[in-house]
Amino acid sequence: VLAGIKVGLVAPGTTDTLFAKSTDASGNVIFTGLPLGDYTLVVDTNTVGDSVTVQKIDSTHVVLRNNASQQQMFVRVGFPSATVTEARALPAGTG
Amino acid sequence: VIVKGLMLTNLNVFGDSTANVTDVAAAIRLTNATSVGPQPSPGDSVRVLGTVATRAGQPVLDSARVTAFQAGPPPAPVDQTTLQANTAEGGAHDAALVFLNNAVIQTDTATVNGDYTFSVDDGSGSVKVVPRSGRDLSPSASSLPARPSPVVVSWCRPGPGPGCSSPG
Repeated sequence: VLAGIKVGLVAPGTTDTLFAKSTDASGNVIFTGLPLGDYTLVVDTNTVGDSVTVQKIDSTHVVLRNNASQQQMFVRVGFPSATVTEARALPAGTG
Repeated sequence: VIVKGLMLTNLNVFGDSTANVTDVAAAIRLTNATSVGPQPSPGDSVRVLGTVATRAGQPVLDSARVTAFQAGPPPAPVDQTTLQANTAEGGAHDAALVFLNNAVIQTDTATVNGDYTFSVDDGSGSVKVVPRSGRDLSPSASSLPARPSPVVVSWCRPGPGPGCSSPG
């Protein structure tokens, strides 16, 4: 669970961030009252930290078709995995 | 960074608090290693979270946190001459488990950083050996003969072969 990770919703096919929030202390971010439509979920990797990476986003496509629409998305962040050979080749300080 | 592999040693059996882990292609030394959960044993499948650092010119995983998740037999060692072992073949086998056959103890040196050390040579060139304290050779044991009869210094080796033996 990581707080302070910036999550955005952009219009599909663009890089225009329409809405953005940061995760709370529980690692959650909640968008409410969004206009109906399609969005693409993006994570600002600059806010993730220098030792962990975004490893998986279960779905980046947010679809809101009516006022009751709700979607829950999971973003998994963690330390990068490497083989021993890969780890041996990493620069010192890589965590 | 997280790596997966097999433990080659227990944790903190050496005076410098290091341990070694390997996967199918390479090995790496762990420094300042601690376990998350039960203490891992040689052969255990582990996941290691650590920070890449350098020690004696070779990469290591520092502040390594080791999580063992499955027990297993130790991996087979790499056959090497003492000359090859001296440089770990230019680092290619750094931190690896190696088997030195027909190596003769050359010198019996003082304890260094809590570890008993001695050098062995199979005729190709010598290499310093640091046995696991209290297991392969007791640091408190009396000095080895200055010039013993040929002694095979063997590491535990699965399958046919000389198996495990200690100098003496």
